[in-house]
Amino acid sequence: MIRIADAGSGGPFVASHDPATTRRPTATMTDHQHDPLAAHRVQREPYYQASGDELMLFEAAHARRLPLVLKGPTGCGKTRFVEHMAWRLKRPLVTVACHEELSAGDLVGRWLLDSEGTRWQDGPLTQAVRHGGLCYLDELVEARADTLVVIHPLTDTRRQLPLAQRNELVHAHPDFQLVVSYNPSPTAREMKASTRQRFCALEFSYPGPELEAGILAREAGLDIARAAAIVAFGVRTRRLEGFGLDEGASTRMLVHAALLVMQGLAITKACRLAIVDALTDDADVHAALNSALDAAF
Amino acid sequence: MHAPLNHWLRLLWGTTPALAFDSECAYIAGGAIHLPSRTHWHHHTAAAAHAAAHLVYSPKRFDGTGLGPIARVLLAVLEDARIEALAVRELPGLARLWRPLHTATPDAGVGFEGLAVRLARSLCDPVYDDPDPWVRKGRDLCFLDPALIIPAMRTPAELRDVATRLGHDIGQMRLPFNSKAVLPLPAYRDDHRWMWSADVLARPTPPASASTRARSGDPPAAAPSATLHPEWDRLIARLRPAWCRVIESDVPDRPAFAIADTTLAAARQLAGPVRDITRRAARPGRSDIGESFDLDALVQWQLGRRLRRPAQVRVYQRRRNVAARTALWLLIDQSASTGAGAATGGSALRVAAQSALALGLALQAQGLVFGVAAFNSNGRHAVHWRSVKSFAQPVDEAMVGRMLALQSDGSTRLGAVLRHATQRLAAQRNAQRVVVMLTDGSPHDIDVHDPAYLIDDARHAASSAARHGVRIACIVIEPDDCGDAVRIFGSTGVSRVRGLNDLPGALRRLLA
Repeated sequence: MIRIADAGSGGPFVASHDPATTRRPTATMTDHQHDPLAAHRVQREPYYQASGDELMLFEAAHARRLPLVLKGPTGCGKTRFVEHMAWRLKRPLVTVACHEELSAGDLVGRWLLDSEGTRWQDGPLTQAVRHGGLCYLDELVEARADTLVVIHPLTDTRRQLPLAQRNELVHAHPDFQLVVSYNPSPTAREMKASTRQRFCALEFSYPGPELEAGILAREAGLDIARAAAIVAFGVRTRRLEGFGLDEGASTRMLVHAALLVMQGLAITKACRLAIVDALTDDADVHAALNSALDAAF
Repeated sequence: MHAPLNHWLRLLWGTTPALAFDSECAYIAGGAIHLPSRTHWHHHTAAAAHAAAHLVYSPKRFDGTGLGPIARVLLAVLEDARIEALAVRELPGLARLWRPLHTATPDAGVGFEGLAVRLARSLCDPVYDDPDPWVRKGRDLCFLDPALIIPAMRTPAELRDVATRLGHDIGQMRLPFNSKAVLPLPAYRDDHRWMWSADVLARPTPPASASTRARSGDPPAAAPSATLHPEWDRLIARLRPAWCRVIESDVPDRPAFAIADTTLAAARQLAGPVRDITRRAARPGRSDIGESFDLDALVQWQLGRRLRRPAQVRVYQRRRNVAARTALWLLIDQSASTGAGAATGGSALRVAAQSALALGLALQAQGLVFGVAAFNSNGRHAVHWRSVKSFAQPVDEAMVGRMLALQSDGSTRLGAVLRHATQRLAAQRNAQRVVVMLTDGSPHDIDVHDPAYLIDDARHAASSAARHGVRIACIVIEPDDCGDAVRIFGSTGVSRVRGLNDLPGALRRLLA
């Protein structure tokens, strides 16, 4: 979605989510002209093993387009859950991984230079707001402070996105919903109350051992016995949380180990590669993890 | 050896028994595991895993009434085998740890000791096939399967029954038994003193130490603004959770004082080193992506394009909001020892206060977010953190007044203060987080008599801060010896100053 405009033009905000006010790039695919977020549609069902009633809760929040924060440790399935819900709800999913350098411009868009002059490029958030879809901001609190402020008018009854640089006020598409993730830990940045209170929250944790073994078996194609053995080791590593490890092995790590076993590695080698060596650089913790791995298999 | 072994046992069973390396042979007492002091990792892990398996799978005690000495010895051998089988069922790799340490063969003889160690091996190693009928009978009575996975004895009564039957056979064989002789079992096994003595296998209680004895006693009532922090105990090699109470308060407002000219001059000298701090977070120059154009670069790009020459496309300004990317705590040690005079006149606390003021002015000029706090302690329940300047307050004459109100008093518990500063900085949204500590040397406190205890704790807190992205610079003011600070922060983290004039060089060394 591109609009040729004068970067220096002033005037009031142009209230717009009407594509007629913008010019589409002529080189884009026809599909994209009809569905600018076609590339963001989830074509096949992403596997997600529910461990509670989170599917129903998400659908309820989505029905009212309430902004949602997914809280939980690294690699417990938050992103996969959002992908699954986007597929289930048949909505495009625009995902942004937030980091310390992520500015408001990276989210909403910026002026770019080309051979003809300046042109506006919508950022991922603006795309989702204009055309309707789920916008998933992964680890929102890692982003710069100005980024957090941008989402405030989107997360209350206004559902607006002001593009100050472009003097435009974008009203959110009826299908737009904002979902963010947040990994609370003693050392993580805290989410400010003014941001926190705009969201409904879904709490995630690692699935129970049996569910987790099932996830490994399903994701990697591994037999359930070996999947359970990898999960048992992963659960052990979580005992060191706060005692040398900030977080134990995530479900994602365990899936990696299972994939390596399917690739032909011995289970101990796979766990060493995917879990032990990846988890820590601390010599004492590493020695303990290595010995525990030897004991476990 | 402490730390990895502790981590390892926590990984295996989630148990954290106290470990002590103070014995010739392994034993369990009061829930603590005592191990030989000098041996290698393999034997340590074998012994620790065996003892921890007792703590996990064994009953708290055995009733020895009515049992003869032979039956007691045999019951201990059977219990060892039972808990090892349960442990191996959960953690198969432990078998590789224990089995090679059993070396008994039929050559061990047919005396009671020889048969007992052969039985021990026979109950541990499914591959070992002992020809003796008594040993075979013992194996058959103890396990339901030849792979030694399913123990036949599930209760202490069943265990006692099997031990009594095997002991009866020994009696029938008229084998002599010396109750004072030590059974030559593999060295990794504990001496079973916990089974019969009054010792009860309760939840692990940490071994008493000089430092813990001193710190016993009821904690005072919690202050409303107190924060609890863990503390590293080097003797048990683990963090004591919620051990130190850091009490936050504000230094009350005092009459304002003008900032001295010498301080202003020092602040000007500090501008360079402070810019170095921000430079680490800054990325000056042009970028091919950004939010604002760099006009010169834009003109150059247009010129190049019209002249049909290759042109630099990095036409955006790099983000320059670098000051906001740094958050800093300036911590002043106000323990009693800082009341002593420094070479340049005035106490070490005064030099620290002047340094903090000068540094504060320089930081403020660069627009950095920072706070100033003074700290001292009076035992682990009263670590005081007195805020002289919050992040929002300016460096002004009122702050000089508050700074002058600081008095030297109390002790220095660096670890708790560092953890508190790390926690405060972790809540900030800044890419670069720094703690600058102004102190007169080594940590000490009234309830700790082990000189290495607080040093090790502070080192643990400093490395933990580093893991969380917090840089620590320690400026030692006029010490006789800054060896303790070097042991805590490393030689590159410590700089010694005698007065304000040394401060710019020290900062540059520490933070550039």
